[in-house]
Amino acid sequence: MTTPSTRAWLPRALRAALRLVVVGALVCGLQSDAPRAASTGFSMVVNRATLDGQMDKKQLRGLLLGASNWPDGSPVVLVLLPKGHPAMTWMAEEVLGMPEAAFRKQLLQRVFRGSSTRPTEVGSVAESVGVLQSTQGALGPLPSEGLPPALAPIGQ
Amino acid sequence: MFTLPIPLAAALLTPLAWAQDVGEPQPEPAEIDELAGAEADPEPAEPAPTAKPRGDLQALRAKIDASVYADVGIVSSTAVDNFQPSFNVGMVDLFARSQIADSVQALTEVMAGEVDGMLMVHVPRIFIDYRATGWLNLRAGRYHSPLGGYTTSYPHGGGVYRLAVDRPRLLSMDHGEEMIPNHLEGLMATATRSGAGPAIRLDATVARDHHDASPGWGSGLRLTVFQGGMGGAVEAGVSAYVNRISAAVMDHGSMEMSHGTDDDDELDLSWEQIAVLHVAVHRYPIEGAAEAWYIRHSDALDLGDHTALVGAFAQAGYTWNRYTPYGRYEYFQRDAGDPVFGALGAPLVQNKLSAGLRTSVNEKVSIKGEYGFDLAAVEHAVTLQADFGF
Repeated sequence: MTTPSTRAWLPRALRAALRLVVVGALVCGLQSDAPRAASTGFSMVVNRATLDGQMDKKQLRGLLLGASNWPDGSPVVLVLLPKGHPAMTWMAEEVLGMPEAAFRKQLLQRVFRGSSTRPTEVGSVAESVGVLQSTQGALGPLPSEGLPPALAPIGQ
Repeated sequence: MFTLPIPLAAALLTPLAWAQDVGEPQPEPAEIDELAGAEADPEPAEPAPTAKPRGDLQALRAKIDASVYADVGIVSSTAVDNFQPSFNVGMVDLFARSQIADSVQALTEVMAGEVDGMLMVHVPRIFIDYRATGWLNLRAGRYHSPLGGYTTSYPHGGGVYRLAVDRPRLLSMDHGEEMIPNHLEGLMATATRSGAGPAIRLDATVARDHHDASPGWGSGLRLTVFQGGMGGAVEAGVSAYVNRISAAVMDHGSMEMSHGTDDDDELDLSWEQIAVLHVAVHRYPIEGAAEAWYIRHSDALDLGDHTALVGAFAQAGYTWNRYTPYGRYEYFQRDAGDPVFGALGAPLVQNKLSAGLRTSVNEKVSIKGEYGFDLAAVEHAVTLQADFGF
């Protein structure tokens, strides 16, 4: 049973809660828009010989965070650019929804568990293109424009 | 006794390899600019270099993943007079993983440190993986037991990856405290099925376990389902393990089974049966795990005379930037008179609540501060710990 004082208090609390939800939604919307704007220009790239077909974002996430093999059984070879490279930041934040440092820590933990091998670290975009072209099962983030024909973007 | 495999020996005997591993190759600021510029270039079609190793050291690094893990800490507890703090140095963990061939990998882990004033060297893991097909992996050697999710997700030495300052007491891997068969020596087959919908992993093992108080031969199964495919955010599983405890331990155990006999003929063989349910959530920024354990020791596989342990733990953390506040609750209760746990001096009841803050300095260093309250012993403890992996 509600008393007169609670009757007076309840609408105010509801209005306050509603305001909080609206403001929260706006803030979340703004936050989720910001990285999306920065995401243009990068793709997760794979050697065309590795994957014949497409792969959705969910499957791509699985490959980056847990699966050690492609659907055909061949091992996934992650090719990573230097820490802090814009393509790495894009991959971690846009594709995986986490800071790059958290992603790298998860990778190292998987290696330590024994469920994965250490990714291939490269020093430049050009080197990454070379490794992706020459390594079966290689997967890595690259600028979307100017990809050689042998490489295909996935998880679009 | 163990012979170090060639990859590990090479890694240990190559100090430069360790030095090289200390830091990831970091580009100079100018190089970053150059890289950023390369993205804007619509034709990065310069001659594509192949994955050629850049010298012998690079070639070695390409074949061997080597890391070192360690932790140091200060503990202050009401269990000690005057809340006197003590300084702890954990065992140093030397870890190496090598790709021997396209479908063959090896992993070696050696831990060394001071235990009770003596230098102790321990090999918690040394195994070879052979990927027979895309869905089947075979493992031979010494490995962590596929019981629950925590045991294989958080190997002993990698404190930097752990949420709390230590493992749950029931899953302790510290010398003289092992209550479950953490390490197995034998064979394990892992089958995975992934595709649309949940992924499934089945681990089957036949092995000799060598936990501190009840070494013996056993076999077990673990079935794990991953929501959203392998690497999905949520996993749930069930494990079962049956282990024949060796006669030596039962003779050595000073306590009697619950049926109250001290007849060696009846005590010289016994069985251990373990059932575990586990759930884990690992979707950034949430990290959580919960497990329920049932361990039964008996003189036969039937439902006759036996002792039992029932336990569970749950832990969760939420990461904001570098900071992860976390909490854990753990509980178990065991029957008095269990010869295995009695020989270990394991408590009859564990009832502990912990809360702390993990700060990730980077992916290789974390600092944790934790308060623990043992509700059964009514003891408080405060721990400050730094964990490294490089």
